[in-house]
Parts: sequence; C-alpha cells; structure tokens
Amino acid sequence: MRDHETQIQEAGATLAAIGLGDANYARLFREETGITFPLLIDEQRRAYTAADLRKGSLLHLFRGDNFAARKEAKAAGHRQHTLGSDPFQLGASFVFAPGNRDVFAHVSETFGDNASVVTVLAALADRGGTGEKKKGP
Amino acid sequence: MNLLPVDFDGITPPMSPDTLSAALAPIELPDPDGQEVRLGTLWEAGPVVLVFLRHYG
Repeated sequence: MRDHETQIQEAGATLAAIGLGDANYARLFREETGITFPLLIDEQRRAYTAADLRKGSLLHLFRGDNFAARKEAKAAGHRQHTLGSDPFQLGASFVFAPGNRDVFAHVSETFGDNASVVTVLAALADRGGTGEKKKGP
Repeated sequence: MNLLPVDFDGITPPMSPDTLSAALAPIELPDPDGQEVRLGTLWEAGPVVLVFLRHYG
C-alpha cells in the first residue's frame, strides 16, 4: 500500500500504519523504507484486539495463494523485513472517515490476502461506504 | 447491599461504540519516536487508509 501513497493522497485521504513489535523494529522499518506517513506501535495489541484481527497458522504458510503473493511481492521489489513479535498475526486495511464512519474494511484471512489498492481507491471515490466490505466469517 | 459499580452514576449506562472506527478512536499508540497518537485524530479531518501490518515489511 505504501507504494500508492500518492494515489491515496490524490483521492483526498492520508495513509497510516500500525505494527506490532517495539520501537526499534518500527524505527528500522521507517529508515529502510523511507516512509513519512504515521507509523504507530501496538506492542500490547490493543488496536489489533479491538479490530478482532486474526492469526494465521503454519498450514497457511504452505497455501498456494501465500506462495503466489510472496512471489508477486518479490517481483515488485519488496522484501520481507523483520517479522516482529508475532509472525502469525494477520493484517487488515481500513478506510475510516470523519465522524467515525467505517468506509472500507479488508481483514486478511491468510498471509497473502491483502486489500488491492484498486478496491481501496474505489472505496475512497465512493465515500458512501458501498465499496468492498470484506470481513471473514 | 449496593450492587452497582461505584462509578455508575445511575443515569447514563456505558455505551459500546457502534462502528469499528469509534471503538479504535480513543486508543493511544506511540510512534517510533515515543510520541503518543490518539487513533481518532488520524481521521478527524479527512479519510485515512489505516493499514494493520502483518510485519514491518
């Protein structure tokens, strides 16, 4: 998502991220990637718990879609940085708007399951919140 | 015997937030420099794409 920050800004939004791990992990990540958007640290998993985010399992590592996602990320020039405190934690992407309005949600169901920037930009274009609202069973 | 919590004023029962963003809004998290940020400030003035990272990468 960080490669598309300019498009997100052009759509009238900002980008921010939350990670597990500690300040050293986060500082290193910020330095290595050169990101300038807010990066917050959730060592106690308060936000992850409030958002009810899932965890993967060893079986997920060997799924074909995970392999394909890793291959795609590598081809795009990304490399996996430090895993942080919980390698099985799964991520999510949300779009929130003023007034505590939930516009978009994509909660990862496995390791390679990330929101596409196309769907995020579509949700930003359609602030009514009728874009993808993906949340697992 | 008083069965009510001591901080319950008897008028306004605590309400649970009705959106995820409302639930997340009061949570304060530090940035890598130790500056505390209340999550709700991220979408106070405009929409935010908030990504929960699986790992720093």
